[in-house]
Amino acid sequence: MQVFKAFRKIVMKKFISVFIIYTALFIGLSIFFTSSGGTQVEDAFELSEVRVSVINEDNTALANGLENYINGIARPVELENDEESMKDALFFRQTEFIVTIPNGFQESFHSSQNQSITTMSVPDSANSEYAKTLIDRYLNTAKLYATAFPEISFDEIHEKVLADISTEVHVSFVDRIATSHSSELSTYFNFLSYILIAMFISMVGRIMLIFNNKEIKMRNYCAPISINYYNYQLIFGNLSLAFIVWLIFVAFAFVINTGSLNETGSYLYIVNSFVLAILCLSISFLVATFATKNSIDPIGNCISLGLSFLGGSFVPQAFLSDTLQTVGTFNPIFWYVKVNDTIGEITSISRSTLEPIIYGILVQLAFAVAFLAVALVVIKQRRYAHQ
Amino acid sequence: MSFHIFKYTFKQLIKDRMALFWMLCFPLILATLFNLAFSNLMSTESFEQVKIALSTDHDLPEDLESAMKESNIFNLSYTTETEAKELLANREISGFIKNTDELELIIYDSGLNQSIAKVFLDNHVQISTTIYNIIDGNPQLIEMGFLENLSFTESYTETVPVSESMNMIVVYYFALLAMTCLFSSIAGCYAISLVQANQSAVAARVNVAPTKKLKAFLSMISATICFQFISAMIAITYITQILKVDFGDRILHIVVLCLFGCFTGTMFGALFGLLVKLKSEVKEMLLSNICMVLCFLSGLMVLQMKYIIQEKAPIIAYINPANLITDGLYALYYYDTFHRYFLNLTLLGSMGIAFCAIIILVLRRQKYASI
Repeated sequence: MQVFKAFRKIVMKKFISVFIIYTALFIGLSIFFTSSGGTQVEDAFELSEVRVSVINEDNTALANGLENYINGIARPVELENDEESMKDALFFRQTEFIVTIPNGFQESFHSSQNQSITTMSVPDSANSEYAKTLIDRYLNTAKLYATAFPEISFDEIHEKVLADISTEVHVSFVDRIATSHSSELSTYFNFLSYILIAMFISMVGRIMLIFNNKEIKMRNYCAPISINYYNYQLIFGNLSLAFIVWLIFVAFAFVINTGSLNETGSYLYIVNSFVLAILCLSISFLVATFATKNSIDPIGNCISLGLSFLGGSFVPQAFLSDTLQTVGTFNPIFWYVKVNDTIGEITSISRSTLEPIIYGILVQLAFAVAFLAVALVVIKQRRYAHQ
Repeated sequence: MSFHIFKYTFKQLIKDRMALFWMLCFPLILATLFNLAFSNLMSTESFEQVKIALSTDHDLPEDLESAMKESNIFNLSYTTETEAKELLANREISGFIKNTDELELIIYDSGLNQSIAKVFLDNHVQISTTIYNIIDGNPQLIEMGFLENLSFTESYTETVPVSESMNMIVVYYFALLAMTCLFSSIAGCYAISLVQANQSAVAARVNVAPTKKLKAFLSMISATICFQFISAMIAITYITQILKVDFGDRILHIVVLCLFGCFTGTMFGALFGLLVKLKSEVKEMLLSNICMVLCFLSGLMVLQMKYIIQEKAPIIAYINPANLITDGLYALYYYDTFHRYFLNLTLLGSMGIAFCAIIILVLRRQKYASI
């Protein structure tokens, strides 16, 4: 096991600090990424929360009542009343609907020519349609009361309107199984594909560059061990490195999402990510055969970003363009993310639910074997070229 | 002589494959990836009619149907209950409405479309409650013809047009352009190592020559700026012409901003190279990481970052050259007025000039008896 020993020594002496920094960096990245994304699927009907900002210039009973009603149903976003901050917030979708209740709105409410509430929103967005429906609903009911009982105050009207508005239509779900809350885990593991591939190419690539150095290679091939045995030891060294990194990230997944380990399908994520680790390893093994000291970073960046962007690690696969979804069949990361998404939707373990998952995993393994085979062939070819 | 130095610096940059990759190819590759990954992202936002099936097994209240048609929010279809369930399972409709004993909305999962449908139905059911309450409180109203003049569908809102340019994704491309401009700092840092005699052998040779140091430095720097500016132009052309991302029609202003960006970026790198005493590889690595952090703060990786920084720490937004470039482009794209654009341009320019002044002050009259 001389080669493996040499491998271990190189890692411990030359790269250990770099690797630790790398790992810390990517752990930070994945926390950031997971906490910013991920939506939960709820079982009971919940009204969608639109981010609405109410700017109340009127401050009368009617205006305040409307404001309270909107804030109760939507997610209120505080905004300053100047045009630039309103526009900026709208562009970055911090708020989706800005309602300005003009001064004198309540006074003109009785007259036929009432002042309109001005709204700002993203053009033609569904959220703004929804918010408009809510506002009109409140005001139409208020108007009915106001016309019927001109003598009562707007505070009373507000009470009455709220009581009426609580009347609801019965909502039921079509028969289906409740979904589990594994979407955060799914986001984390999807992002993991980028992390693993970027880390492995940079780590494994750097170590392999040393072994691929012409002089060192010539010396090593002089030794009385077969080239196959030599390569297997190298692969074993890389595998153990990959295993440690993979273990850290998987353990970390369940540290962030405590309590999700015993959910259905959690261990499937682990299996799938292990397959991914092997896959990424063989990709980086292949990359290391042709990369040079200067080109390893650019190549690594392109491959890791490219495969993960196109595979849907960052953006859900449903949002990818149609051509990409077809071309994705040739992208191993695409398969990985697809399996993850399937696991996320799984509710029970049975033969039929496991089948697509196993199929996806097998495809990834096939990719891994193919890349590794190419790498080995290239290594062998190189050897003859040097002679 | 200046032109001579300019020419050779330029040639050197073109022949340096690493520089070519990071300054020219990397932005193009990232732009392509953005384009592929985000092409469908914004399409979920726009409003499409909510697809609702009405069950034909039982009769629905007539006024409900007409109200739904009138509202123009729904795309109605008529099916039997079993068919509707199938459509639901395939997510072809958002929900279906049946009326066995009372109105009921059946859905697959919660969402915006379902909420719209529910609020509409709630409203319909609730109006009759309201009328009942009113008549209960004041029965004479019926005689006064109250019921005839009822209106439930009056609209109280008036939309103020904001801007047609609301595509949030372009900020990614703006941040990308900022990154392209700021990558010139690495070349700027390199240029310094070619004129500062204690940094490289070439620089020592350059200093021996009877060319003025300022002249040599300015020629090199302008070659760097030129090269970076060309690659920024290539990136803009690629993004707008080939990827068909709409940047608005103020192309000339964008070009000017990019030129300022390249200038400030180069000066920043030169200043960094001058003041920080480390090995050249370490310096370049540090610089590219600083650039990435600056770009991160201006929204290259997470769009909302730009907004968060602007709201929570406006000082950082105003001293971050990446954000000044991104914000300037954003102001051009989104606002009708040029006020904000010129503010960014001025800040960016003065920052570059300040850097340049410091560099010249530090560089001048440095002589070495021995190195």
